Amino acid sequence: MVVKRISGPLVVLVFWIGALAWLLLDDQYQLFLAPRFGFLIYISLGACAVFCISLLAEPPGSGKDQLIKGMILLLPIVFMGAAGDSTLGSFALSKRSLTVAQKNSETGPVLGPVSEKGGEQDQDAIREISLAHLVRNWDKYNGRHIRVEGLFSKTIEGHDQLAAVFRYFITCCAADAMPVGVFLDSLPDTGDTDLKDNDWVRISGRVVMKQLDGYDIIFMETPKIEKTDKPAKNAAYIFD
Amino acid sequence: MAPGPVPPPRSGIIDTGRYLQMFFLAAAIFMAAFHARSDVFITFSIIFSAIVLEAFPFMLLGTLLGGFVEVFLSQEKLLRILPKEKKQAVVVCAFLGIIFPVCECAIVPVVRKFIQKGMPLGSAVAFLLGGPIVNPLVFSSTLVAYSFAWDVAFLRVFIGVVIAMSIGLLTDACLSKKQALLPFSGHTDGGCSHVGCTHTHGIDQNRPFGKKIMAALSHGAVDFYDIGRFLIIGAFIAAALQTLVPRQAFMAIAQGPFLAITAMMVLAVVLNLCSEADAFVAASFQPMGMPLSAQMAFMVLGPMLDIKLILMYLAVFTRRMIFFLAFQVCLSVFLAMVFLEMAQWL
Repeated sequence: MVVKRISGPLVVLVFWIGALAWLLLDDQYQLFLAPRFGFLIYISLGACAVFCISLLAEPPGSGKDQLIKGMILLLPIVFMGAAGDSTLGSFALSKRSLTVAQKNSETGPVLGPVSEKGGEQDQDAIREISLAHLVRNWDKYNGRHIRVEGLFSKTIEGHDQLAAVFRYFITCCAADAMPVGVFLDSLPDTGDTDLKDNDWVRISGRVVMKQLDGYDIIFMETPKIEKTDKPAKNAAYIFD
Repeated sequence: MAPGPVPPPRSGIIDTGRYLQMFFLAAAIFMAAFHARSDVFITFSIIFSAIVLEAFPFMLLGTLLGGFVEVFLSQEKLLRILPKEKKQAVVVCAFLGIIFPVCECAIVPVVRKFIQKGMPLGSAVAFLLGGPIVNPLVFSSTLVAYSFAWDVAFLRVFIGVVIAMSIGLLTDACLSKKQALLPFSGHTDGGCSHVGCTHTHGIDQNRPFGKKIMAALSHGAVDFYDIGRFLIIGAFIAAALQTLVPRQAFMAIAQGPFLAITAMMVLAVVLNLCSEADAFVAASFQPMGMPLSAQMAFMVLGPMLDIKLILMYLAVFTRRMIFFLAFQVCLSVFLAMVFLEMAQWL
């Protein structure tokens, strides 16, 4: 009797309930969505549960292409599992511009770095800040020594001599991720460490604004770089 | 139990689609099996999952709402509510999104149900195109994204509604329901229209309320199963494009306002963002010097036409109608934005 009530839609919805519950465990969904959109997962879970109950009460008739429909609907679960605990990294960076300030032609001349004296003064007190804070408060840090953490990328698309330390700004979901960070135009002093793409690093040095392809970009001069542990599962993302 | 309805004839596009879906499924499984640890695959998986997770609840809510329309809204009631005159009905339906606040992922199943209940084609198109833009949630998100710039939020609604009405009227003038709708979408006897569905609740209005609720939910679930795959395939294609095509490529060609409008329209189709979230992305282009007309093109076109929507339209419309709709929407949005750009020069 119970077996007769099992239908393609019911099986798909049960799998989805499992997947959505898994996403809620340990806030796994934050690898895909901004935390404030967590309610979307609850809505999906609720709707799937309600649909399941209704299908158990009123099983649908069998239709054509049930297997294809069901398998396509299950595909995202496979890909979510395949993504695991990964976040967007340097490959995604290669397909997106590092977001910084306004286009140069509209903002006038690029601000120059602060005087060497000012730089020397600041060197004594290197401030550890977040990349988000740096980008949002750029005016405060131009020409100063700072320390930031982020993902490392050995090269930049179209500029093989440049490296970058970056994270992603996320408004809603990983699909709208925009990288933010600093460019490194000299090979950083890495000590004995062999740095690879997507390694987590802590980097310190003086930040200045320079032009690249007509855009104002934040560069870090004479950076010192050290490998560090990933601060959190979704640390690659800065949620707006 | 009453005998189930005879399955309606299937169109050629669905049969072709069946093979394409099988091919898509095989390609996806092959990709997952052989490239699982590559950076490209991981990036793709994250973006694909993100797009699906963002759209999924709206899709579910849309089919849920569609189920309630199926069971609780009779054809007679719907036709009584709408103005008799077709043109007036188009105007009213362009604003229907205010009381049916659904985004573009959810609106397709709702429109499908409305059409099955006898809503005139042009009115359905006006609701389909205008609904996700006049949606109060979308209006609010636009306001927030543009730091409470009321003019931007109202401009988006105004342009969206004008385009939705124009294309609705044009559709009524140029195409008949037979030319525009797939056979089972045009099924209007008020009964259940699911392929292979044996429910009788769509006809029996005298059922107890509880049973009706259960029937509405069950209909929603079957609808979700029926058209959810189009959302998945659309998200898959969009994620592949987002993974492989550099965004810089769009920005590089966006030199000058008209090219910028075109580039942002392409981006809107490719990115497949939810209408409740797209304003934030559009606003993020402001610092790059993107003109308002181009940002507006992104916000108006996105809820009307993107890859996943085109795929979802396959569940409702004929190929001819989809081409007609896509062409009209693109042309109207482009012309409206050119007008907006030129108005700013004056």
